[in-house]
Amino acid sequence: MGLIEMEMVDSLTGLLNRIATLSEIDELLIEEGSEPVTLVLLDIGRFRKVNDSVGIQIGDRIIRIVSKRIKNAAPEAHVLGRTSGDNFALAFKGLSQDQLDDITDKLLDFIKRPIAVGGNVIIVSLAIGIATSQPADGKDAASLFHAADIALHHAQRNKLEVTHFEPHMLELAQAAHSLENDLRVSLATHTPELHQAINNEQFSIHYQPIISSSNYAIAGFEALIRWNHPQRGWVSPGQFIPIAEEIGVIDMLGTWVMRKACKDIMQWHGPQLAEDFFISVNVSAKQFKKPALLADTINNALEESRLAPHRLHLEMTETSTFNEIPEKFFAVKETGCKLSLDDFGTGYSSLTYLHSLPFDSVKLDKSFISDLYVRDEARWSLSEKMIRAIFSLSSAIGLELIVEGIETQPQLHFLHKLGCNPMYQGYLFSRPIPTDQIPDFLSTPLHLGDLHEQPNIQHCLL
Amino acid sequence: MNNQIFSIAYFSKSSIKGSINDVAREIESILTLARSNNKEQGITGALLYSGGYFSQVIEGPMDAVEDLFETIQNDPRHTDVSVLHFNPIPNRSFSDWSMALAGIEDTLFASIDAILKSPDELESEQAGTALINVLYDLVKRHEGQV
Ligand SMILES: Cc1cc2nc3c(=O)[nH]c(=O)nc-3n(C[C@H](O)[C@H](O)[C@H](O)COP(=O)(O)O)c2cc1C
Repeated sequence: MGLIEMEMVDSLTGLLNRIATLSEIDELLIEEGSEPVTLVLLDIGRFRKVNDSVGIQIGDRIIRIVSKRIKNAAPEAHVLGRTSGDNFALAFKGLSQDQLDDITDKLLDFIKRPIAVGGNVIIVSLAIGIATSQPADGKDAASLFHAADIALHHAQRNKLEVTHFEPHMLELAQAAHSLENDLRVSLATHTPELHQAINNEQFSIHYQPIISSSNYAIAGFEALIRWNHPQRGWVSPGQFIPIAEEIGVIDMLGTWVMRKACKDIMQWHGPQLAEDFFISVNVSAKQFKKPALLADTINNALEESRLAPHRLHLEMTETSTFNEIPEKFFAVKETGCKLSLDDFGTGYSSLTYLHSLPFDSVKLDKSFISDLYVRDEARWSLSEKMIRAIFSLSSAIGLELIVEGIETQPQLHFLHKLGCNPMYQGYLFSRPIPTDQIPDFLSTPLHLGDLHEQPNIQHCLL
Repeated sequence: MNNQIFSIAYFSKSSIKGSINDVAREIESILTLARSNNKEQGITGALLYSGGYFSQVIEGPMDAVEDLFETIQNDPRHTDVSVLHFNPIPNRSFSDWSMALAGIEDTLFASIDAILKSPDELESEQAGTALINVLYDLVKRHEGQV
């Protein structure tokens, strides 16, 4: 193999490498004729995970097999290259929409068939992003590639298999990118020292009280991170937490919240506070993937603040990977803090988790309570049955239950009538409160309205 | 470990068009080729066509089984491949056949249909064993008829 050839070819698959792929596409684009060039980018889903579980050697064999399947499924490609680890690019000239549909169907069909390697059977998933050059716009390979890549990301983010580039995806991608940049700046992600890194003018914690239903004392607070950006204003956690996870700063944010919350709670006093009231901190599934690091963070925060471990609760949302990692829960549990299962009743909601994992409490998903707004009798009674069932289930296995999202008197009245003793959280009691307003909040009695004078819940709902 | 015999059992949906006679002709040609290829690679097994589905068991050294399975995966004459099992086995079930024909039938065998629909009731492992047994009985019966 000559030097030139070596530099063009991907040694694992024998396909063109990234540079050669781009230059071949450039050739196609400047060729005579006005036929558009279609670029199909193909990404093997979760390939790193496959590699982790079967080893790199078998991973390499899978890549080789996939590259052959691509060749076999789309022999008409003018250019075929491997552009990165688990990324392939195919370029075609003058395809009709029907031909393109045929090709993507065949690629999906063949690549997703089972692969037998090293004694395993593996099925890979894939996402495809497509961009077509317009005859007049004189695109180069790099910008065509960029468009297909944006379509590919759009497909991945929206769990689609095939996405064709559209201009609005560029705007979405740019918006996400700019939010990401702002987040990086506000977090000064290059700063090694945590306490310097997080911009305290912008990031803060609001605390929402959790109320004991038996005596209406404040049983605890949930710590909720807030970001107030000078230009954007308040950015919702729903927007920036996924980005923080994506760019790998969630550990840093999570650590900051935990340290600050543990310190804050030690400052609070008042007659409404239950003895041993707790602080509840959200932990992302990403943080949970590294239980040793998380346990360190917890231990440091506890030591620094001198908070008793059982007064720190960690809230986590169920994920599909829960049952793969029971040991991780126990590692974190060893710190002495308590675990709470968030958003229970939606998503994966496996009863096995409740039974086999060391949770101390569950938080009923908001949707059950918000259904109590609905005038529809059938839904109302279904919600009632579900809530009753979860109440009795949780008390049977000794878990505390927290009901969140309580916003109206009728909802509270309804819960009260069920005759169980959960903990309550919601706007009816209090919105999340900025840290500096907590002392004031604690010095005034809770305003609950007149709970017991609601004669008929049905009546109130109408 | 490398001289261990592996067996893979799968179902797929046939894409061969035409009458049952056209299908039979196509399968005969697959088998002619398969028998000489397989012998060379130390592969044995059985193939059934019934009611638009293929069922196949392939036995042999791991690498040979994997290579052949991959070749067959790239064949456009079928789609929707689902593997029931891929495991080392103590003995070959089809040691006398480089690729036995278990039958070419217009309708789906009830026994195959039951295994096809099994994912809920049977573990895939059991389904694989069940498929091997069904194919073995069919091969024996088929042989008796010829
Ligand atoms: C359902 C089915 C089963 C097949 N079984 C075998 C087989 O056991 N052995 C084999 O060599 N080819 C088998 N083939 C054919 C291969 O897919 C492929 O066409 C053939 O091996 C190509 O051989 P060649 O590369 O020597 O032309 C089968 C095809 C189908 C559709």
